[in-house]
Amino acid sequence: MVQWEQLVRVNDWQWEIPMGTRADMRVPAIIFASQPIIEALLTDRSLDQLLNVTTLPGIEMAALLMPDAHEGYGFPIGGVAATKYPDGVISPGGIGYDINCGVRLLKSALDFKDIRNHLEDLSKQLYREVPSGMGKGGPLKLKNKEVEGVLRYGAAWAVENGYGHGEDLEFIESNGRLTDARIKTVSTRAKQRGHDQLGTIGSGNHFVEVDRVSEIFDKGVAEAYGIREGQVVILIHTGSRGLGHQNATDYIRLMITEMAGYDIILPDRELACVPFNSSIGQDYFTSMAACANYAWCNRQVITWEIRKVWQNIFGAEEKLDLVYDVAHNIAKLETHVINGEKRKLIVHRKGATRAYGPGFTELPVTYQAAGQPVLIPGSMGTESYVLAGTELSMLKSFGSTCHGAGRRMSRRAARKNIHGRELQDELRLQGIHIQAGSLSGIAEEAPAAYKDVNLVVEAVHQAGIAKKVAKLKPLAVVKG
Amino acid sequence: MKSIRVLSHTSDIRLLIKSNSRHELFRAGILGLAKIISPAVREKKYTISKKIRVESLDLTTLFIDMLNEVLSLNHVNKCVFDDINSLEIFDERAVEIELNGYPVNKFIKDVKAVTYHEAEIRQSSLGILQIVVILDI
Repeated sequence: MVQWEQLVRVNDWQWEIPMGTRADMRVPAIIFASQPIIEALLTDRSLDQLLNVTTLPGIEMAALLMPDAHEGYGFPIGGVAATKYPDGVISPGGIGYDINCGVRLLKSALDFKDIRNHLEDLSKQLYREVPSGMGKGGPLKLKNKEVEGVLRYGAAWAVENGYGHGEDLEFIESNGRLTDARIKTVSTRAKQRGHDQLGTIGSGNHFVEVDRVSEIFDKGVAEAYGIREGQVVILIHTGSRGLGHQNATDYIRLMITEMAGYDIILPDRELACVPFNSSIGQDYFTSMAACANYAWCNRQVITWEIRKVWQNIFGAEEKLDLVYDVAHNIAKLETHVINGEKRKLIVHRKGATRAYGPGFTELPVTYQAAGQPVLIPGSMGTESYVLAGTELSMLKSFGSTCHGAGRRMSRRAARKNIHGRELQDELRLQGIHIQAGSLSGIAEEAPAAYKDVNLVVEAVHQAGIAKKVAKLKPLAVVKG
Repeated sequence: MKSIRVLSHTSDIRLLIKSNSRHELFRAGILGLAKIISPAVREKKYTISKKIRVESLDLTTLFIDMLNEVLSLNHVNKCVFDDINSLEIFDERAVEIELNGYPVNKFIKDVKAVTYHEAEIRQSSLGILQIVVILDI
């Protein structure tokens, strides 16, 4: 295990594990964190897993770790790695099984005072209308051709079929569609698993959450995003469901067999990878893009379900508009500056969010001066944040930042130490309505099972790889 | 002899599976997975049968690939396959299994995948085989 003595403090918010700490490192490892967070990271295998990432063939600059990191498998959660284009590797383990797991934020025109008497009803209707839970199907049963349409067009498929508005697409990372997607590279089994899961959130840490904006840190940026204090907003956290899980499984299995042919030897099979420009590398990248499209379409259909509930309770004239939608498990081709030189790279983000600074032309015109919105959900009883990408994140972290609070307690320990019903009652006293599939699920996702999101956000804010815009407080939470 | 223990992991599920034979270890893996995902069912009605063959690089990857195949079958059929009619391993690189499953309305854990991380089948000095498996939740 990595020891405290092996860490070099760059400043209060950045640490380095230098080259040579382990003989197989190709680049150093950089961690964005405060000292208490670093001390916590030393208690699990996150940093050892980060060192494993530094061994990837073609990795550039450094393997990065965000302050919400925790032990995963292969990559640590909160890891970012950029590899050389086109012959550096692509690794499905650097993206995760839930391809394009991500977060969407919707804003309403209503304030907390307008909905406070409807929270019970709102949470119950959301639980009914937005399917959640393990292996549960959604309202749509797609035929093969329709699944292929989703894989090819992403959120645009949903809009085209009546599950959203054209303007929604402008407020989604990559406009809700990766054009590299190829449907033939996704297995029949994966497509089979996707036919009835569109419009579902799943389980675990996925949720739909109604929040109120409790604090504004940057008035100018908040105004650009259309966010104001007291306003009611809604967060959605989910991904590509069984389709994405199957795709990752299919390709990790294939790459474990094939990587020996490229003389790739790694310290962990879960890091399995092949050169990006190899036939399998291209098949994986194009299939991952298709799964990412499915995830954006999924969050779009969930938006449609939420809008139905919202208008049913508050009236047909009440709208919910997108603030933004970000992926936090994905690989993308991006251009970044390394040592003063512009380089095209394959950027892997596993539990990390793109955080592009001001001037990024993909953003809606109204956001371009502010930078890209970054959405950081906390746990169900604590705050969430809206951040903005910065110029510094482009220089220090391949335009990336954290993705959430990050777990600190195992699910088993949470179930042992926390009583689901008591927690539900306690949160209700705080004005937070929870609707969930099981009491043990509530216990597993308890606020105590997570790091303090305020400390995580402070770390990225102080490190300069995102800046605080607004804080959100939960009012109603729907979980699987 | 076989045993399945849940060990600590920050975000996922880490299983320690032990047995005194390869066949029993593979069977224990399937039963351990079923135990994690299956809801409480009053009466298991085995209505679906599947015969699968999985081929892999070596015994450890075969074990993980087999569990992923069974996991996938569980999801596609909305069933839990925990009744093993037969299980035969060929040269540590292939396994053929006949399984029966019972339908469920939902799973109690959404296991995304069985990972290769930390997985290695080892044999103790007493001849006991064991493997640690991390399930992505």
